[in-house]
Amino acid sequence: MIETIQSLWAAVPEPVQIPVLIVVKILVIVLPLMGAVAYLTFAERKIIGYIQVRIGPNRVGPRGWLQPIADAVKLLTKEIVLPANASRFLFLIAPVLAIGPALAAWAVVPFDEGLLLADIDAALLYVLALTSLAVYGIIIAGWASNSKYALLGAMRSAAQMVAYEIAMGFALVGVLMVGDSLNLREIVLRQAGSPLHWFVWPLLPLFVVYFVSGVAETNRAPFDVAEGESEIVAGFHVEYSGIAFGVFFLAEYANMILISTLASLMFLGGWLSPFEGWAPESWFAVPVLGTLLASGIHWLLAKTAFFLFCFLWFRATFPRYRYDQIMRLGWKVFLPLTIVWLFVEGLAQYFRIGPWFA
Amino acid sequence: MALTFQQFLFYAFAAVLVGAALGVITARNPVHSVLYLVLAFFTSAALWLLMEAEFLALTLVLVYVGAVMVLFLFVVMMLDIDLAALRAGFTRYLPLGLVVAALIVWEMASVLGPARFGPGRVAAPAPHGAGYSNTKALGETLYTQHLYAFEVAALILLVAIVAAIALTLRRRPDTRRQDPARQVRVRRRDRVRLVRMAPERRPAPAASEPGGRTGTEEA
Amino acid sequence: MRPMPEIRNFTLNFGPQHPSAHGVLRLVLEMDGEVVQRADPHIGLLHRATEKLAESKPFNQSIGYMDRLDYVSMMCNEHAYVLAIEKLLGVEPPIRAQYIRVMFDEVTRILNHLLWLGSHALDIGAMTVFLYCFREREDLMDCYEAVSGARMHATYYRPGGVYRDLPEEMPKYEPSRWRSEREVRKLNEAREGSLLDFLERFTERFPKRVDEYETLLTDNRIWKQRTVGIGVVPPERALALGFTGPMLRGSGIAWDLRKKQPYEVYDRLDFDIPVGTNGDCYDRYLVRIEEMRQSNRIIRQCIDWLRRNPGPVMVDDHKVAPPPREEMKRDMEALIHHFKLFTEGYCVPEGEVYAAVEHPKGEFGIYLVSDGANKPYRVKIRAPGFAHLSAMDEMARGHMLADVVAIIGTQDIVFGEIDR
Repeated sequence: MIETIQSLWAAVPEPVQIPVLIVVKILVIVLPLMGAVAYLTFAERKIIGYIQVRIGPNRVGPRGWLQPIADAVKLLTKEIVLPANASRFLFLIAPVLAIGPALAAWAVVPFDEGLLLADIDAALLYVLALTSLAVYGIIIAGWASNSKYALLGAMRSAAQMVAYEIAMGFALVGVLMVGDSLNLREIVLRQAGSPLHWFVWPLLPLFVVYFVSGVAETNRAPFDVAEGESEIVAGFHVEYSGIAFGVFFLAEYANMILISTLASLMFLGGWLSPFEGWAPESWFAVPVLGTLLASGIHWLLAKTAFFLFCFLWFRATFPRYRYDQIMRLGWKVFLPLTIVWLFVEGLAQYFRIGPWFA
Repeated sequence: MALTFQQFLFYAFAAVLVGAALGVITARNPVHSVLYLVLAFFTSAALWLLMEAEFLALTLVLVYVGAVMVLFLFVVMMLDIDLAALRAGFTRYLPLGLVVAALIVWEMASVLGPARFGPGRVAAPAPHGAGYSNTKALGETLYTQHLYAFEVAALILLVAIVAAIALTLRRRPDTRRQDPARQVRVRRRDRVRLVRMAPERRPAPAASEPGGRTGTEEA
Repeated sequence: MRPMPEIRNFTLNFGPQHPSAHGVLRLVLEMDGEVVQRADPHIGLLHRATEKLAESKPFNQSIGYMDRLDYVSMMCNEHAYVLAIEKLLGVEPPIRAQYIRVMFDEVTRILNHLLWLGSHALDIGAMTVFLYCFREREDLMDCYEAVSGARMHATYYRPGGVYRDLPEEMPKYEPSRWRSEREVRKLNEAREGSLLDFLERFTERFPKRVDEYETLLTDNRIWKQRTVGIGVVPPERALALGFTGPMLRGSGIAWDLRKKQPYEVYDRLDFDIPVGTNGDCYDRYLVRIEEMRQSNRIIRQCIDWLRRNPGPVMVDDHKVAPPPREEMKRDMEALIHHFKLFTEGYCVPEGEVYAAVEHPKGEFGIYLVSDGANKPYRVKIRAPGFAHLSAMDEMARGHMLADVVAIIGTQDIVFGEIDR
C-alpha cells in the first residue's frame, strides 16, 4: 500500500511535485487551525457562560460539543445579503482579504524544533507585515457596505490598527534585541535553559504591551470599538450575513490564536518545557510523564491556550474603552513605554546583565 | 523554452504589477485606484522577494501597504469626489498631457534603453548562500557608512510629522473632553454621600405642622 | 483653484432598531466625525394611548395599563394611580396594606435598578454584570409571581389596599426533562417557607451581591474613564430641566418624595438618601447602587413589621373593594356589591387631584380629573423619563458617539412611560 503510493508519487513530474507538496503542507496547518477556531468559539461560549453563571450551548450533541459544526452548517446555508448600492466585488472580496493574512502568517510559525512550514530569516518581519494587512479586509468591508455604521467601524478600526501596529512593532524590536535574530525558531532556542531564561522576564513591560496590543489588533474586548455592539451595532460587518460574516469571524479567531501563539513563542519559550533546567533528570525518565514534562509541542499548545483564555476572560470582565481612549493608550502610553524600555534594554545589553544578555 | 518555476513566478507577478499600475490610473473610482496601488505595492514586494531582498520586500509591505496606504484609503473614502468635475477639462489639457508623457518616455528610454541598461551591461549579482541575511547586511551598512544621512532623514521625518500635526490640529471649542488621569483618580467616597433626613410632614390628613423639619445632612 | 471641499457634519440615525436604543428610541445625531453636534430624540414609536384608553374604562380596569407604562418598575406605576384615586375617594388603606405596598415599591426599585445596572454596564461593554443582575431579578420576579400570579404586570395594588394578603407559600419548581429531581430540590430549598421568608433570605444575600457588582465596576479604570465627566448636569440645570429621582440626586440635590412628601408609611421607616456631587454618569451610577442598598434596608424593616402585625389588607368598604367570596354566597347585598363593582365600578367624587410617588426613575405622577362618573374624565401621566430624555441634547452635545450610549444608559430610559 505505502509502496504503491510512493511509486505513484515518483511518477508525478517534478514541477508538479513542489506545488502539491506545498499545498499538502498548508493543509496540514490550516485544517487543524480551522478546527481550533471552531472549538475556540465553543470554548468562548462555554467559558464566558460559566463566568456569567449560565451554562452555554448544551443542546447539539453531547454537552453541546457539536455546536460549532451546527453553527458552520447554518452559516454556510444562509443567504449572503448584498446591500443595495454596495460595491459588489469589494463587498465579497473583503472577508477573503481579512482571512488571507490571518492564515498566511502561520507559514513561519514554528510548532516544535523542526516542525514548521518555512524557516525564513525575516520571520518576525513577515508576521508583522502580514498582520498589518489584516486591516484591509475591515476597511474595505466598511466602505463597500455603503452604510454609515460600517464606515464608522472601518474608520475606527483603521486608526486603531495603525496605532497599535507601532507599539507592537516596538515590542518586537525588544524581542529581536534579546533574541539576536528575526527567525522565530532561533528566538525560541535562545530562551532554552530554564524558565528563567524566557524573555518574559527581561521584557516584562514589552510583553504586556505586546499582548494588550494583540488584543487591540484583533479587535477584541475591551478594544472592540470597531464592532462596538452597543455603539455602532456591529461596525464593519453590520451588513454581512451568512458565510461572508462567518469568514470575518474565522479571521478574528485565527488572529487571536496567532497572537497567542506568537506571544508564547517570543516571551514564554514556545515549546520549551518549564521543567527544563531545574527538574532532576530522573523526572524525564519516567515513561509517559517524562515525555509530558519534556519540551514539545504540547507546551506550546498549553501556553497558547492560556493566552486564549485570557482573551475570553478579558471579554467577560472589562467594559469597553472609548475610541479616543484607545488611541490615547496606544500613542501616549504604550509607545513611550516601549521606547523607554528599548533604552533600558540597550543598557542591559551593554552591561551584559542576567542570563539573557550575556 | 522551458520556464523554471522562478521565472514563471517572475512573469506572473510582473504581469499583475503592470495590470495593477494601469488600474491605478484608469480606475474611475478613487477608492478602486488606491486598492490597485495596494496591489501594485504588494506585487512589487513579491518581486523583490524573488530577488532575495526579503528585508526590503517585507518593509515595503509593512510600511507602504500596512500603514501609508491605509491612511490614503482612509482619506479617499472620506472625500466626496465629484467625478464629472474632475473630467471636465479632459480635452483641453490633453495636448499638454501628451507632451509631458512623451517627454517622460524619452527620458526614461534614454536612461534605461538597451544602450545603457540590460543583462548584458550590468553583471548579475552573485547569489548568496543560505546563511546570508540581507537584513544584517543592510543594517551594518546603514548604521556605519550612512549613519549621518540616516539620522538626518529620521530627523526630517520627525519634523514633518510635527509640522503636519501642527497644521491640521484644530481644537474645537464645543467639544467636551475628559482628562483620563483625573477620571481614574476619582474615588467613590468623594462622589456619593448618604443624606439622613427626617420625613417632612405626616401623610395623615390631620397633619398640623405645615412646614416640617428640614433635613440634616450627614457626611 | 477649486475651493476646498467643505467639511460637513453628517447625520446618523441612531435607532429605533439599535442594540442600545433601549426599546424604540430614535435619535437623529448630527456628527462631526465621532463628536456629536446635536442629538435630536424622536419619540412616539411606542405610543399606545394609555391616557386616552383610561378615559373609557372604570377606574379599576386601568390599573393594568399602568404596569405597562414603565415595564421595569410595574408596581410603582400602579402605586401613583391608586394613590390618586384614593385621594379623590378619601379612602385610606389599612396599615398592613401600606407596608405591603412600600415593601413592593422597594422590591420594584431594586428590580428597576438591577435592570438599569445590567443594561448600562452592557451598553458600556461589561456584559457579565448584565447576567448577574438578571440572576437577582429572577428571585424578585418570583416574589411578584407569588403575590399576584404575574411575573411582570402584576395589577396587585387596588384603590383601598392590595389585591390580597401575602401568600404563605412560594411557588415551587417541578422536575422536568431539563431539571433533575436533585436540582429541583436545591432550587426549592429557599422556597419552602412563606414569601416573607423567601424575601428575607434574598435581603440577606443581596448587599453582598451589590458589593460584587461594585468590584466589577466602581473602581475599574475603564468604567471610570467611560463615566466620570460624561453627561455632566449642574444642579441648577437639573432643576431647570425638570429632573427627578436619581438624575436629580446625582447632581447633588437632596430631593426624594419619600422624605419630602412622605406617602404610605415611609415616614416610619429608617433609610438614607444617597446624593452625588458632580452630576455625571459616575455619580448617578453610585447613587443608584446606593439606593439598592437602602431599598434592601427598607424591605427588611417591612418584613419585620409584616411578620408581627397581621391584619386586613383592603378597606372594609364594599363600594370600593369587592366583598369576600364566602360572603357573596350567603349575603344578597354582597352579591350586588360585587356585581356593581365589576360591571359599573365605583363613582368618584368630582374634582381633580395629583398624586406622585418616588418611582425608581424619578417623580412619577398621576393627575386625575373626575367629573363624578365611574370613569376618569382625564388622566395625565407625569413620566420622569420624558423630562430626562428631553435633556438628551444638552447632555450629549460635544461628547462622542460612545458617550451617547452611556448617557442613554444613565438616563435609565424606558419607552413605555415616555411614549405612554
